[in-house]
Amino acid sequence: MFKNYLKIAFRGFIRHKSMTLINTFGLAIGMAVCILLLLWVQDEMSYDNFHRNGDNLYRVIQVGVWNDGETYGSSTIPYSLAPVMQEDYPEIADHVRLRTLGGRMMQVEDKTYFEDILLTEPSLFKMFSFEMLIGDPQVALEEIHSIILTEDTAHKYFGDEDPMGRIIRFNDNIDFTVTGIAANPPQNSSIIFNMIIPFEILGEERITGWSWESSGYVQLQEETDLASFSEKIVDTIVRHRPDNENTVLLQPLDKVHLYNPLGHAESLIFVLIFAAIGIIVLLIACINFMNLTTARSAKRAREVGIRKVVGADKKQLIGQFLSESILLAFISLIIAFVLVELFLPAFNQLAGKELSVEPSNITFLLSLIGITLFVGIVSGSYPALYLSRFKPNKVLKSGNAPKTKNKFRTVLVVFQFTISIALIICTATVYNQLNYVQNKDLGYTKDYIVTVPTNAELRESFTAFKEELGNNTNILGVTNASTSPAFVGNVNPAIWEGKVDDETILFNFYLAEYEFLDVFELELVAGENFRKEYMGGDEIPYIVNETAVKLMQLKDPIGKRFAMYNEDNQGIIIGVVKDYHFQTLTNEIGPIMITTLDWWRGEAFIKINPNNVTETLGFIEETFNKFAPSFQFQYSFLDEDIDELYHGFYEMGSIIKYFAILAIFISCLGLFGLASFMTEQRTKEIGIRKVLGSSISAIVMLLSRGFAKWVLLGNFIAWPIAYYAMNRFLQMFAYRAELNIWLFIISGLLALIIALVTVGYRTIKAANSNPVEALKYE
Amino acid sequence: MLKTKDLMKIYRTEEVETTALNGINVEIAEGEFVAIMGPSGCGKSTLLNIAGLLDNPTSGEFYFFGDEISQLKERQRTNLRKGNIGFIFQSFNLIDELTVYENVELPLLYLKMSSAERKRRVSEVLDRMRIAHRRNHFPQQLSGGQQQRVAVARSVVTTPKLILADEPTGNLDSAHGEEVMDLLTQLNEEGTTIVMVTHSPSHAEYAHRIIQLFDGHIVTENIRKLL
Repeated sequence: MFKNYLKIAFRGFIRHKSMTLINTFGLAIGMAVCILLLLWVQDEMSYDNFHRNGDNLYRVIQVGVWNDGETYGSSTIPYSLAPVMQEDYPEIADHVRLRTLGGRMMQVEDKTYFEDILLTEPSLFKMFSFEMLIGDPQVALEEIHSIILTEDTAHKYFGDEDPMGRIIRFNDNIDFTVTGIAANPPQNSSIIFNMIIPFEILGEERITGWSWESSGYVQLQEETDLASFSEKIVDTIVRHRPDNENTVLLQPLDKVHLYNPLGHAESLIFVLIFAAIGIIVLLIACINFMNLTTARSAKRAREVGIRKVVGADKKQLIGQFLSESILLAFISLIIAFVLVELFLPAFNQLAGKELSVEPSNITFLLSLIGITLFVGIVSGSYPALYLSRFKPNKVLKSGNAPKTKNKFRTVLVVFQFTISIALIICTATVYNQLNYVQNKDLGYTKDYIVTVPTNAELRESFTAFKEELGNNTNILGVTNASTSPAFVGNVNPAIWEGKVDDETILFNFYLAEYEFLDVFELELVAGENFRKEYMGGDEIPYIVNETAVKLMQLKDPIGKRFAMYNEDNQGIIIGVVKDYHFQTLTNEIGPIMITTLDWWRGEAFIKINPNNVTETLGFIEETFNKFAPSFQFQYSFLDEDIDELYHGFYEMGSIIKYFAILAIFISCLGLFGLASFMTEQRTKEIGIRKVLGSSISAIVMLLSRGFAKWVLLGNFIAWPIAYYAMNRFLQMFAYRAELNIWLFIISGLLALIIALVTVGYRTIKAANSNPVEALKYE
Repeated sequence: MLKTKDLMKIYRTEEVETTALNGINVEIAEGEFVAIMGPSGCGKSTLLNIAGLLDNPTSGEFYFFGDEISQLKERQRTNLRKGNIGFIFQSFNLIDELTVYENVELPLLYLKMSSAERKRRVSEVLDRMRIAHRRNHFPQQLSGGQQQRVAVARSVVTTPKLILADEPTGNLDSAHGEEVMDLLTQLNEEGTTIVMVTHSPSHAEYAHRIIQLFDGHIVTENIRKLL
């Protein structure tokens, strides 16, 4: 029996080639999208699941309250927190502290690299399942100037030579000896490293202090009751440091990747949204199958009638049609597999992952079979029910399916276009917002500013360096500061004259050279700018922004006493700068204090003439090498660095864009098939109309009207959905382009035009056909 | 074998009500060959559909081998029909995607028969219908007469007790028509009951009895020859 079904199915596929092509291709695209997303979701969900002790490992979180009363959770904790926890609580079996130093210069003989370095303790290898290939972690990190490399890094530095015992020079001043080789951490690990040096390098005083600069994990004893233990540890910090009211929280290791420190499913929501979109694209493809199969039902009605007459019951027919759709789904799966193989590299680039298809992975295989059965059953169910209902006495006489207006089919097409239009609107809105972000006046100039990282040597001779650069007319300004002016992430308590209570108020702080405001063309609204003579003077000068003034409720801030962190940094407010965006536009402008203290003003900013850029860059490098001969010259353009801050949103924008394109493409594929059938069904009507004198354009209009109606209806449903979703998206930005009605109208029109062009070929062909043929045919 | 009492069939659409059969009383004995005649729309096909358990009457009684079955559910009708009734149509109604052999085999598949038994039966009936040489052809590759022979083969492959033929010669030229009529007569002689709707008086002559329908009534019953 099954063989008979297969035979009929195959011969049917071959007979109706264009229909089969539309169906398999549509389903294959939908399935390929689904498989790619499945790989992605699987990878996201698999983070940190390879640690044998995983169930007992927790990240230590400190919870505090912002100025505005909002609670925040941070994985950056005081150095001493994890060790004192282990001392205080027998439930803790072990702890490890970690800190990453970003972009440090490492030199091996004449080669220079910039690397992120992990500072940690040997317990990392005991608690977590990271593997040492050569050496014992306990021994390897004993000497303060020892370094463990990963396999890849060792290969990168030393090729096939033996890396053990070799010397690597750190930041041009400390030599480290390679004492161990670790396996590369798996790609789905939250803790990643290329090289590890001992935590103790930070200095005994620092790592036994309470400065918030490290992160830490603890391993609980087996069978610790988490709920009661969590209660017990809440006030650990305040018990040791009465001036700090932050509380302590443990975050399970398996939640580290997808949840924020407070346990909100921040990243998980993105995973779920993309999974949902993947399933929706697949459903759109399934709908094509349903619509085309039921539209084709006229041709299969006779077969149903015959089968019923010779003894088939409804159940058997449903079984037959379902096995047919499942078979088609399996054929589509093969094509989908090819598509996945083709597009995986591009997808990896888009998603920033290294996903690969592993057919040997049982869960993956089972999910594939699951997807295929899902597609087969979902897309086959409605046609199966619809077709198996035919009464043989009706269909055998006429040889046709009973002509009813198929409302369900209309609903399905409207659904497809609703989704497609909503995705187009989402794409347009995301890009509109990104365009807004790119063009928004940030309050300072960001074009033709070159950022150059510097070392201590260059910082010491910065004035001379600056002077020498200033001799070139193509260099319009030089300054340096603690970080990029576009992303200030550091806060410190602010203390000012007239501050009433003891409450800690945090300001962002920024350390800059005296010409910072001039180079970035920041506007001073009151007081005066930094002056050269303040540099290193007794009275520390502060410039604050308008928001800070408002927050301090100072009527006349100029000349008021002001300090950052503690009284050691006592100074006065000399000026007020107009509010500017020192963080991404997702953040409201907060209070900031700018001062010329030079703790670590490691970034130099050089404004250059837009002409002769290459030549000017050459000159900067030459000068740089003169002042810091051992330090590697690197540069970037500030405007590009700022764009990079929105990388995640660009990524999201392009993913939604591709989904939208696929959705509209698959929908149109289906619409094309449907248009073919519907014009075929109306051949006689078209013939009669033409005989009665209707013009070709009137017939094209008549045929297109129905499709246009569907798309328009889809618009009206899509608009509120897209409005809601995009409103939510835009909430992520403190500064946003307003949702524009034109975005909706243009997206809708675009979908309408695409749909009409799609059906146009069929309708025009039908309208041009010879009416005699049409009438003779019936 | 078949018996009806005051059989009524009314088709309703939203605005129109059509009475297709109006108080039909008819009895057909086992082994009979009956022809039903009458103008288009007189209810011949409706009667044949009810007799073939493809449709239920609106009211009245219908006995099939002595059981009253006028209100059976579709599933029950399917089960009763399977293997007991064979159908032949004017437009042959073969499945285009199946070969001659596969078309004939189809009813046996629904009877859950072993494949060896199916092979034997199909080959036998194809031989009888003199169509065995075309067993691997598809319907479109055959002439009308050949297609109807395949249809007859399909209707008899389950050795049903009753064959219902709806204008079996309507789409055939006279030579092929005669050929099909000869086959039906032969089957009848072997004991199969045959009920046939036809427009052709000459083909009606093959039957033992002719029932004339007009506007849903039986107007005459002409018993031509007795068993």
